[in-house]
Amino acid sequence: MSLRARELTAAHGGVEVLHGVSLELEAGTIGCVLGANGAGKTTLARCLAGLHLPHAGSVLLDEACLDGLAAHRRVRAGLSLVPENRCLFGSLTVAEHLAIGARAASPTEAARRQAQVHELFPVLSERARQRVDTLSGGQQQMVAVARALMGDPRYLVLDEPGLGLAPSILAGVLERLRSLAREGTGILLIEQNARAALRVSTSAWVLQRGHLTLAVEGSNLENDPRFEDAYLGEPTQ
Amino acid sequence: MSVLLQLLTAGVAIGMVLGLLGLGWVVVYRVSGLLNLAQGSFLVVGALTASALAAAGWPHAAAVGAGLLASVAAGLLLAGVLRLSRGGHHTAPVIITLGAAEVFAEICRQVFGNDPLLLPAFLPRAPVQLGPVTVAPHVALLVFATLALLGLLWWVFERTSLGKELQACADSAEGAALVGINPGLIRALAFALAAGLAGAGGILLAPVTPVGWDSGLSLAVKGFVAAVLGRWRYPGTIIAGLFLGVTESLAAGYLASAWKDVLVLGVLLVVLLWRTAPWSGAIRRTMRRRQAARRRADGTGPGSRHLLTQNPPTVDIPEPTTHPRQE
Repeated sequence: MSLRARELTAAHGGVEVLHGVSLELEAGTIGCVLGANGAGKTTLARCLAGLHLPHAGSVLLDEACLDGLAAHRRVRAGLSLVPENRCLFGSLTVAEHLAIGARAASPTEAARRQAQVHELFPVLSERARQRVDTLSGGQQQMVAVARALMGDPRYLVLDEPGLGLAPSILAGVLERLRSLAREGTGILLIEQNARAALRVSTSAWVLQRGHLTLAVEGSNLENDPRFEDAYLGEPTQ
Repeated sequence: MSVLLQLLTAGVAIGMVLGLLGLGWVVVYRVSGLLNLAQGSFLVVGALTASALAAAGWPHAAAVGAGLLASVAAGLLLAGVLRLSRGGHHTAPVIITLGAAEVFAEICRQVFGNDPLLLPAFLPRAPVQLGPVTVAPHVALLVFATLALLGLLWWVFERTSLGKELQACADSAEGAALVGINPGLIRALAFALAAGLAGAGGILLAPVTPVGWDSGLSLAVKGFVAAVLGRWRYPGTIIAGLFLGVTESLAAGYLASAWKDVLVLGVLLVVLLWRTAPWSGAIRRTMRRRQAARRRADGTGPGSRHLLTQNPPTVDIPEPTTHPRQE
């Protein structure tokens, strides 16, 4: 049971930005892809979700090949993405986002998930009837995460979930992701903010200019010196 | 006085139909980012099918239903052709819709003949008194049925999950796909909805005015004018359609009927010039937006001087949130 990328090669605007990236995320664990701006993190996330067509390579979900499957079919297969640019529906309200996120679930199940999401983000229950294009950036990020959680995916990819969130809120999100992982969800965090993500991860990869340069498993990744060398120590350009 | 009232009534009636056509433009554009020049052809297909079948002795209800079905089928057909053309040059879809308008027109001429057709009246001919105006029953039906359709449309968009999914797809097709909505299916639905609205307008119009095989493109353009005037919003487009209808009717009554198209298209030109002229507020807003975007993008100070010489967009169309080719 895992989400697997096999030799993914992809281009963006005619320039190859991923060169044969392979990684495997076990169900029920949290993994973390680290990399600087422009390393290919977002392209990797979009390839996994089916929003970007790779030139070569495969994405496998529990051994089922997802290649050629459109994004909405991958969602139905259990793979969900919180995209970096959020892709919210500006003219819909917060409550409508949650409802549409759980569109495949029964009403009682949707209500149960909504209660969980409101517990995680209390401000969203206060703003339930507000259009999301009137929310602040941080609140919009909460809606993006909440919408994905409402779908109760088996594998969840989050591209920069911390963008715009206060550190205390991000800590709450990571804690929630950890309990989701205990329930069996596989979670892939794609982050620049390495430390907070590493704290909850049991596997991590470093992406540098489209190549995976380091793959590490285990606990206490936060203090692993190899990340200092491979990523944290890299001068930002 | 009574002439004025009659002209106004006729204008409201045609304005309702133009509003329905404009709504078709808005639905398709907002959901799929496409400008559909075949929008008027759906009206013609529906009106001619219903008229011909009713004249051939079909019961009116069956003829009307068949007309609506023909319109929706034409819409789905066009959506399917456009789907096949994905990945081409970005102007290809508009050209395809223009070609489709010609093809639909020619098919209508071959099937229904050269002469405009009138749907045989099925309501009593005696005019009815509505307040100060006397109208033919079919004109009253046109107005009230259109209002009912608008109410139905409002209900679909505001109260049903399908409406929410249409809106979601209009706002962000990628976001819609990420919650499991099939954007291609929603796009086809948008075409079907637009075609159904146009077909309904055509069938309501057909007992009042004969509809000819060649009127599709000019009706489409008027619907486009309504959408532009209405700023690509649903209520605005209806109001703009009514305004155009009344303008057209008054021009035909007080000038000459040949003048009405000149006036409607003149309105479009004036509006486009106004929106793009240096003294209008739109350009200042555009410039402010661009300056803000530039500051955000590269972190520099206020926008540079050459913004003043850049051409503003010539048609006030909202940025499409998606383009089908990006799927």
